Amino acid sequence: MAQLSSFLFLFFALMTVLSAVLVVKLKDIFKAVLWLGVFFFSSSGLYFLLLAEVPALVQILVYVGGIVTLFLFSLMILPRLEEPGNPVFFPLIFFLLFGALIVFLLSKVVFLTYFTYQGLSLADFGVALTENYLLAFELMGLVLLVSFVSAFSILKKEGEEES
Amino acid sequence: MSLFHYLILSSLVFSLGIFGVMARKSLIGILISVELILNAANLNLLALARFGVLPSLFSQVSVLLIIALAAAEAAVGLALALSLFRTFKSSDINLFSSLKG
Repeated sequence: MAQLSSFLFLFFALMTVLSAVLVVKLKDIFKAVLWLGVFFFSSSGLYFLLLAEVPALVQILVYVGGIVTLFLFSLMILPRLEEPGNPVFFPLIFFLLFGALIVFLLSKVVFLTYFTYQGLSLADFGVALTENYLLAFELMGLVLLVSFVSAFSILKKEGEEES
Repeated sequence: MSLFHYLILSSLVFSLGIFGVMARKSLIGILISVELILNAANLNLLALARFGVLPSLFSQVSVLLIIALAAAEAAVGLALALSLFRTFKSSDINLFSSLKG
């Protein structure tokens, strides 16, 4: 059982890193968005391994079903932009610096925590969402509403405003 | 698998997202790199909740909130990209320098 879960972790981790590299590096941005879908699927597999079923399912629903589709549609509207030799040196430096810093800080975290877990069920999640974190949940809905209204008002053409 | 592996993985994805934000030339590329960064944060939260000190649902709820915020960010970002394309007739970010002082 432990062997299976570590094999699954290795598989999903390799998929995640590979697809993230492809998302960042592919020249054709259409293919990069498609690989973004693969990235979301594999990281949702990692969430399943972490016993967080609800975020994993919401990840597939919202990201793969919603956001990747949104990106694809807007790519069909925008013209295809070729990415010729953009300078890669400074981003590479930042990648290495950030990576080293974060690995250092997180390795501190590992030694400060110890490992316990007791299972939390889906019913617990629902109760927590509607009792303990109700304010955050409602605020999330408000933020979504405001952002969608503002997206519509940004996209409105200039001539259509008066009504 | 221990917490350490998850944290290494999430930091790798996070720094790949930083790389993408700096190296991409089009607005859509920058937006999808930001999605990578948000996903690394989610992975970090869930791993710390799984192996952390106190078992709590706070991290799962906050992951849900981060996903919703990412959806809002994608919607507003794509609307801005389309309206910038309408103005500048291109999606190359090096042209969008009219707010520069």
